[in-house]
Amino acid sequence: MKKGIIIFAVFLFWLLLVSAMVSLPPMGSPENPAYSHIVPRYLEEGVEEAGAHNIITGIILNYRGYDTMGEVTVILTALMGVLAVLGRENLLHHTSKVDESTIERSVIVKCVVRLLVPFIILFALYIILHGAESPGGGFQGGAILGASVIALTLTFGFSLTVKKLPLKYRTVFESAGPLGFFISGVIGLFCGLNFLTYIIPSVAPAYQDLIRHLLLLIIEIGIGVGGGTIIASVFLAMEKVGKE
Amino acid sequence: MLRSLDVLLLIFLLVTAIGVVCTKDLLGAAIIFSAYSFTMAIVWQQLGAPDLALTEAAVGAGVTTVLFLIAISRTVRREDE
Amino acid sequence: MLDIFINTLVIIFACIGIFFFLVGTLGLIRLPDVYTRLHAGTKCDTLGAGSILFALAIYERFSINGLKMVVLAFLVMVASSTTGHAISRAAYKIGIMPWRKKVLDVFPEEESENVTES
Repeated sequence: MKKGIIIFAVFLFWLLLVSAMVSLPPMGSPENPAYSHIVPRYLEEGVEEAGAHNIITGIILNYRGYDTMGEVTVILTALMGVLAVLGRENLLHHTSKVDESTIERSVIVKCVVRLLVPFIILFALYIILHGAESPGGGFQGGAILGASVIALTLTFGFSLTVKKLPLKYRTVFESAGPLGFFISGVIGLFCGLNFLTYIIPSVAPAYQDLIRHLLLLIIEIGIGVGGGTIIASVFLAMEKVGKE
Repeated sequence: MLRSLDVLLLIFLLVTAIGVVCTKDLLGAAIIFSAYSFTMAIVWQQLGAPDLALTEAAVGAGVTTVLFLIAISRTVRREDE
Repeated sequence: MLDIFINTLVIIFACIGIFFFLVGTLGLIRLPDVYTRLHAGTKCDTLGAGSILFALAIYERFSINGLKMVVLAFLVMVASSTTGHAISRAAYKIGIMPWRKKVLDVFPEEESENVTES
């Protein structure tokens, strides 16, 4: 009896969803409102308006700047949640399984990681800095930066990473994403325009493009460094084990 | 021409997605999930979204798998029946 | 003439890669323990992916994209063989013994009456 009621309720909900779905515009149809108004504008004028040759970066950082700023803040909030549950690591009280294990670390793995990690970091920096021209950007490069820190920690031990990336620097770097948005956005406010406009009206129009590029670059670097450090911090917070 | 590759990728995507849900061994499920992420990255690339492909490959297959593995090593490996 | 030569080379290297992928996958499914499976699985990445990427590099006539393929092949080879080394070393250190061929003795001579119990 109870099961029947549940199945009936689910069926009613399904009917509701299907009836709502029928009224939606057909999926992938070129006459959809999204394709008829926004997409042509982005594709035709995006490069000049947004100031990035990679239109996706232009949309993310310029047209949808507030959205991306929210995302960056969400990532920072996620780090805060992790730290509220697990706590910061502290070399006096914490160690990790890699440091504690009695098995000697393999020389081959150490050597290969030491050779590869500089190239991984170089690739991450390329993706961050070249995000306005080619596929990539702050989020992707930041994830690769964080992955390189994870690889170093898993091979060379927990204490080395915590010593090389001390807490006083990491707390600054973690907030670099919102900070980059703040720095680039507030410049527009000071010039009497809107937040996140990326324009300084008093400068000659010939340099307007350069300034927009620089401001976008500040945001990209902020997102990249912030994302990478946040991933590293989450990893270190999860990796730590209490000392006896 | 490339349609057959897309169909193969989508079939593999379905298989891995069902495999993640159905596997009782959580370590195996995490590894299948990373395979799912790599396939998804190739699908994004096929759909013409290289930015998303990069994100999916770096975050989904790299970082998330490591975090899952740490979480599994802290808790239990088997899912309770 | 040069085109035919290059295409032949590409096909040969791609076939070698596909062969190693096939053999590696079969070995991953069929072999008995960690070490032998690793032996099969690393062949997929080093020889299989390596020769397929090399075939693609030849196909691109070693232009800038082709050189990227060569670098990629080098990275894949180094990373996958290191991973194989790390996993097998860890497996050895935690005490997994390599597989030995066992002779299956279903009816041992002395305790033939205990077989049905165990």
